[in-house]
Amino acid sequence: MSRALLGMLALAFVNGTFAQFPFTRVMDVRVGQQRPAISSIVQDSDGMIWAGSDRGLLRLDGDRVDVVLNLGVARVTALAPVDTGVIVALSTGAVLYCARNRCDTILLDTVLQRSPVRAMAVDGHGRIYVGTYGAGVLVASIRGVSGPSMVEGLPDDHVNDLCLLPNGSVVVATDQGLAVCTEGKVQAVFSEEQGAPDNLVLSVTATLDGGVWAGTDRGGAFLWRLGHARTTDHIGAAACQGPVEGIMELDGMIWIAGSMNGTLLFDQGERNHAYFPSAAALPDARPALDLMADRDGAIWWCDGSDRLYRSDPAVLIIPDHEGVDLKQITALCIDRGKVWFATADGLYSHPTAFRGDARLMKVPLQVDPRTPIVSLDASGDGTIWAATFGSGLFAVHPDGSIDHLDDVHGAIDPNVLSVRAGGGMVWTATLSGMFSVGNGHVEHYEAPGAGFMYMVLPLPDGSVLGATDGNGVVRLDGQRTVPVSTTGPRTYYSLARDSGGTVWAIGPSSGLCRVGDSTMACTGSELPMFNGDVFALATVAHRVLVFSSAGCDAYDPSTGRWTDLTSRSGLEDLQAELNAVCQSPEGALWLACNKGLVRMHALDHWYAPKLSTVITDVLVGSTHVPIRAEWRTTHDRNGISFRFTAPYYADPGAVRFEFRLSGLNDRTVRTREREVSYPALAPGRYTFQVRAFLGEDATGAEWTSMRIQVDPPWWLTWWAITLAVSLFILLTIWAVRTRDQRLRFRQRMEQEQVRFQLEALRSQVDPHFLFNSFNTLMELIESEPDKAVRQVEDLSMFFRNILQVRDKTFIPLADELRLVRTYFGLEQRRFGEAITLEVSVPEVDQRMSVVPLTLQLLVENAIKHNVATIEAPVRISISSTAGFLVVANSLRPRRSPARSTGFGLDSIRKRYAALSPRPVEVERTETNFVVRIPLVPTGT
Amino acid sequence: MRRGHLITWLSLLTVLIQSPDLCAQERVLLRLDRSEVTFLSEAPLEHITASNTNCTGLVDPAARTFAVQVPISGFEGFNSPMQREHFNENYMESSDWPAATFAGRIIEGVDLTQPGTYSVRAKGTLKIHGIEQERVVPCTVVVAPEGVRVTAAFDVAVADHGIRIPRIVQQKIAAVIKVKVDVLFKNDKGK
Repeated sequence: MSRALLGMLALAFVNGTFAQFPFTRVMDVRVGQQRPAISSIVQDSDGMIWAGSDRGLLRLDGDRVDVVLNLGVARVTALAPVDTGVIVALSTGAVLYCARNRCDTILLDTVLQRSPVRAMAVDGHGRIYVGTYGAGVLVASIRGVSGPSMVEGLPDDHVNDLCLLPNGSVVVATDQGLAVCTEGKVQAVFSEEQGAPDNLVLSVTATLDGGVWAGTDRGGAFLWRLGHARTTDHIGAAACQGPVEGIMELDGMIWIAGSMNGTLLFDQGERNHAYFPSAAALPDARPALDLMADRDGAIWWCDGSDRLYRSDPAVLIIPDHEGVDLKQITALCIDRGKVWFATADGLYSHPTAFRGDARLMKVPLQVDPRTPIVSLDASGDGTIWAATFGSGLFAVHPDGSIDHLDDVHGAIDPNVLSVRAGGGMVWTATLSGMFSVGNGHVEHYEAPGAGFMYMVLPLPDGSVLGATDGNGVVRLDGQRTVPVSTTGPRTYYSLARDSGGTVWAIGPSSGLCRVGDSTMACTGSELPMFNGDVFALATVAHRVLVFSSAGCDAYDPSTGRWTDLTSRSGLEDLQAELNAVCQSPEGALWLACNKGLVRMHALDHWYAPKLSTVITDVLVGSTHVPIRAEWRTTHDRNGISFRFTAPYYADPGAVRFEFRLSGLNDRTVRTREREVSYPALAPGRYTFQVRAFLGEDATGAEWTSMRIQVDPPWWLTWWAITLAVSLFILLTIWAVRTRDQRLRFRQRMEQEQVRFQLEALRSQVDPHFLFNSFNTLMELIESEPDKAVRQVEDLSMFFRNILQVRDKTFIPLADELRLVRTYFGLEQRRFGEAITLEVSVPEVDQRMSVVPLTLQLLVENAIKHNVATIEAPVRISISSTAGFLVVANSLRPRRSPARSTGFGLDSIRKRYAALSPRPVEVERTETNFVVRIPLVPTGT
Repeated sequence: MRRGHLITWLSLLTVLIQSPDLCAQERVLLRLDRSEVTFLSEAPLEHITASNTNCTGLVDPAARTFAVQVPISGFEGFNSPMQREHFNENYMESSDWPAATFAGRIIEGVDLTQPGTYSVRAKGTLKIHGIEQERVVPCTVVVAPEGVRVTAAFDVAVADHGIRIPRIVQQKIAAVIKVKVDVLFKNDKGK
């Protein structure tokens, strides 16, 4: 009982509605683990979708969800797009401008808490119209410089929606009708008094030609133009199925938000031509809250849940119609504004416009369910030809009469696989080759081999091609068919001719083959679509579309590029009957598949989508940097992350990116990620470039770039380096100079000292000695001339010796002794017996060396400083002991000391200290004065 | 009990005063005198109905604003006392959100001081279970010498107000509850 009731309900549902809807993709939006309740959506000029929710302001690129503004308890009440950003109204009374990665407050007013913002619009002058529920319309500036002003003269302060007209006026939808305002003043009001169907206007949108579509609570939707007294167009409340919460006009289609299943779509040209989303397709959809048209001509809506819906009117899916399951279609064709299709239950026709008043027509053609119709085509006279696999060919004439041709009735193989009309004839492909039907008789053309033929294609030039199993593509030649080429793949399923006259063929794992006069040129056989089943081939203008179990792919022969349309057209997991595709004269493709009957208007931007790459965020460390074409940072803030994206909602998974950072290296990196980090950039200039593309081929994609300069630390700037280097050079020069000077000074000092000592020594030797010697000589010349002669001889010898030894460091002791003896001889002539010299140095020690003039100086000192008398002569002895030369003299110092510089002994000491490891020892007792001079081995 | 009334009146007055349409001039307020708010849950396995006569409310005929408050615990009826307890404790959580309110304004520009029968729409904020929803409710208003009688019927989707219904009782409680309102407002001046 209950099952019967349910069945009746289902039937009533099917009969009451038309289950057809634009292909709608549902996006689940998640913020972490949370499900935001999205109440408004807009698209900015970058193409990014912004969504206002109870979790804050979200931005979507199809793949990722960014929380641009985290709001806590506040909600987003309205959104309006401006350039690359949005104006956001919050339930806290704040109005903000958010773009890329930053938000600025424009307006903050507590009035907006009590009277929440319902809608906003921004005009070309940067004026923001803020429509509030309870406080009228406020006009603020996007720069927020001046306080808001009010729009005066509104019929009601309760604003539900706003829109801008092309001339800059603002249309305000209030609880008491529409108002048009210019320059802050209301110019016109349109309410029930003026002929509006309802005062309570909930939504409003402007058309390109200056009209206004308004959605009302219980009056449906109406079109009104400024200056007109009445509505220009009207969609009834019953058709709208309730209050119109949102409305949008796009390419002559009116989209209505608020029905029980999301949105309704009205074709403005044809009344009652409404598309309803099927409850089966969108089971969880709730009444839509906000509508928006994106740049690709698709409509987005949200329903207060965490889901966003994107409907593409270019793809219409009709899963069932008037109780007929259109997912089971086996063949179809289009003729004179009608689509003819066959299911296992029979043959149907329906107007190509699936509008409310159009009805399905069933052809009274009895077909054995075991031999369903596999191919349909219309000949020029309006006859529909239905081919069955097993029951032959049926011709349904425009007058309703039906002809049947098979081996009994018309000498034709009943196992027909394809029928095509062309050149005034009808051609069939059968299990035993090709047949033509025309002018009342049937011709048979054998195919090579077994003769299995999948498809036949008559061409405008009169030739006929056939796709065979095992013998490739064959061409009709007289009474026979001959293979076009004997090489290449042997089995083909489908043939199609493009607008340029080129014929294409596909078969299992054949790739896409161009049929030439005698060649088959195949391409793409390695692509995934040829791995599985291939179903059909179609041409749109010069492009070729292949339908396979992998979906739908388009080939452009002029560029050789394949474009995957599967995700765009919603044809994932496609299953279809062989060649169940046809094209309407307007260029729409109709495909019968497991989704139902699909109508596709593949638009040009489908084949070559233009992706614009946007850098959405730049992070330095953890700070967001304003997005500019050029910016700089410092050396210690050089960890830089870029976030970029390319909004593409039709098939977000196909987007790839290429980026490079010239300045670091010229390596171009390919990635699916939408983020890249450079943890430590060395100081320098860099250019970050990124571009997005689909598939594998990046050629032609445009780069988006950003220049960065990382400033070096101050100690690495040119002036600091110059300063440091010059300082170092100066210091070095100074140090070298100082050291040099000191060394030279010391050297000079030493030289000076030595010279001084020598000079002193010499001068010491010279004057007194000479004076005394000459005095002695004077006495001797008078008394003893012989002695005087000897005295002069000794003197000269003495000086010669001094001259000889003067420059030497050491001289042998023997030489020194000889010099001393000569000197002593000179002195003895003066002092006589008052001085004595005793030398007892062994021969061995005489070979040792001493500093020249040492002994002479000591002997001279002994004579000079002591009182010398005959009674107490000065006895000088020179001996050697244990490597020392001992010079001793008796000590009787003069009472008045002789002129002494104290230089002699001291200089000997110093010279020996410098030249010998052993010091000169001086010993002075009461009676003796002993000096020990170290003997230095000769030759050192 | 008196104090409870006072608070209710204060809150209603606040709602009214907050409505920006109110002008400061002499105001004639109509007070809710008799009320009956009924809800009906039509689920496959069970029909539940309960009604409430303890509502309070105000109407300002000049500004066409109104505010009505329905104490949740005041609903009587149900199929069993246990059901009423579940209603209050599990679904409506009336200890946290003791009252449902509907405050707003009447869209149509009718003069509620003139006797007659009017079909109007009340647009306002419906707050149930702490969650506000903007609603437009069609009402029939009969202005008669003894007062202003308002009748209305509308639907409330429980999901819209964050009321979770466990799967096990989904066959017994409807997802959309039908609500019927029949109230009489009287001139407040006599008091």
